Amino acid sequence: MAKEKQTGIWTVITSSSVGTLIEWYDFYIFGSLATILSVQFFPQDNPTIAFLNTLLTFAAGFIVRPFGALVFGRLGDIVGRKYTFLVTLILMGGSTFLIGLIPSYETIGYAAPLLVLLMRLVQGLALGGEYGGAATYVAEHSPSNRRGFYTSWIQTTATLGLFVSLVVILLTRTTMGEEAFRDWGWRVPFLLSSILVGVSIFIRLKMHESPAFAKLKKEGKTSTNPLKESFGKKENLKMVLLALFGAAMGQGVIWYTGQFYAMSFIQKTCNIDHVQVNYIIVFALLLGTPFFVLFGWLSDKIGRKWIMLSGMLLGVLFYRPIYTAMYNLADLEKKTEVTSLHNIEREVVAWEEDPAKQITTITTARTYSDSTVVKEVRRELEGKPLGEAVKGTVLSDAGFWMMVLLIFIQVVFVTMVYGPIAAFLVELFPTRIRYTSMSLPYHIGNGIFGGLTPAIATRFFEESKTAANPSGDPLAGLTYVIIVAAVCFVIGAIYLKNSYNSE
Amino acid sequence: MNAIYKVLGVVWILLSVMTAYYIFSTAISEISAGAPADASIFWPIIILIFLPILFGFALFGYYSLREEYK
Repeated sequence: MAKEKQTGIWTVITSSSVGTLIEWYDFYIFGSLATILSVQFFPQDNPTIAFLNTLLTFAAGFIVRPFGALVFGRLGDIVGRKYTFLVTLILMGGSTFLIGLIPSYETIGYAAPLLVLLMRLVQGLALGGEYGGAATYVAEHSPSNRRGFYTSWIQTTATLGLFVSLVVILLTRTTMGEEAFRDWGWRVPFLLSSILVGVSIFIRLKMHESPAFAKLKKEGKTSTNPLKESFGKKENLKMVLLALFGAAMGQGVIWYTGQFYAMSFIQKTCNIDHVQVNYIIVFALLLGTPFFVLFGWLSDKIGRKWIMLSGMLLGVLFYRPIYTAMYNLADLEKKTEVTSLHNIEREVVAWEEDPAKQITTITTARTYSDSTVVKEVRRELEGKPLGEAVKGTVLSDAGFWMMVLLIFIQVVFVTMVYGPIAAFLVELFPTRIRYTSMSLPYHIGNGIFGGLTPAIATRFFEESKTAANPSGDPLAGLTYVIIVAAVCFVIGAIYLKNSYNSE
Repeated sequence: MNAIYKVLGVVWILLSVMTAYYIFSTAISEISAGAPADASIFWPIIILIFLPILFGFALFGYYSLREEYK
């Protein structure tokens, strides 16, 4: 009997996780391709502004997540968990697929960024409804003494979704070559989503409603107005505020710093080669992911509170040293070039747009004493530059693994704050308004405090540029993250109870 | 412990007011100084999003001041 129950919970976890993973995949391919999308969908008069606009469009998806939480949370508390997160899955898959079909700015002008923004908003709404549903669904199937462990599998999906998005991008990129990928190949990861979502819908259709919600519904005790009940009653509202400022806010910035800001930092600030960036993140995520389950399991033994807060405190204390080490790894001023290994290669081929003309690809490689290589690829059409030169630093093997280690450490902080949080949020609120009440603080914490991290951090970095220091302080972006995490740590430490196993 | 809740309640209310002031003053000074085009998109978005959150933070401080969390 116990074994039967166990098999049941694993089916629930698998079917919920696959759908949630695909939603995260859909959501994150946009961020992983931000640099290319900024060229495709925005005017290129000023590349920095184009990149900032892409980050803002990326952030728009995060900003609407709380609204998705309200819309779909309400639906989930009235109609049920199962059908609500089926709808969110269809919306997410559809909008991701359509992004892959939008023509570039060069073809349709400003309609391109507007359409991208619209689809991004739909993605954000869908994700706002998905996560709370999946976490609630698994939690309501779990025994109370193993809730942290079972829900931690759902927690791995955000990181695995990012991981899958990077692997798909990496495979597409290496299979078709950099030029074709930048030209049209970036659409493939978006279009592929339709197949993944189709599979996930098929799996979810076979699922049953959560037993706790089904029981409430049978007894006619479901909420008729979950929004009013969640936010109109002081007893519940004050728990929503505590969940946001004492847990979700800090968790959001730690998550997005460890996984997204780190990626943006090594790509834009350290100027590491795009392909190597993907490999670094992929390895760090792969090594770090099991820790979600470890900390989820541990939270069933010692409670959720101090695991989450320790992750925040470690971030506050160690982000600056970690990012300084990351910056130094790629800082060419600290390296000596081996001039004898300086290499220039030229390749002349017929121009694809006019075969009568010839195009020259010049690859310059500078090698440094620690085996770091800086490659610059530029194209010339009959002696005149064609497009911008693509420059990237390829770290030595030792540098590569050191970078993996530094990001892995950040991913472990992420697993500490994120592994137990689904169980923590679920236990704060009663079944009848759980979907609505837990979704809002979660998505404000992650969608706004976390999701805006790259945009706000880039803004801090830009503002650190002065006449005396025109290149700016590369670590300025961390100020925002450290302040938010520190405030959340203090609130969590004083106000949260270390309760667990509660019904 | 009750005294800590009360003192911190005041701290959170003040922090939310000061953050709101910082966001407003920075936005106004940047936009009026003719900052790049993206600043006029960035700041209204930040104000629109963070003001309700800061209100929520002040409310959290108020509940703490009233010892609602003890």
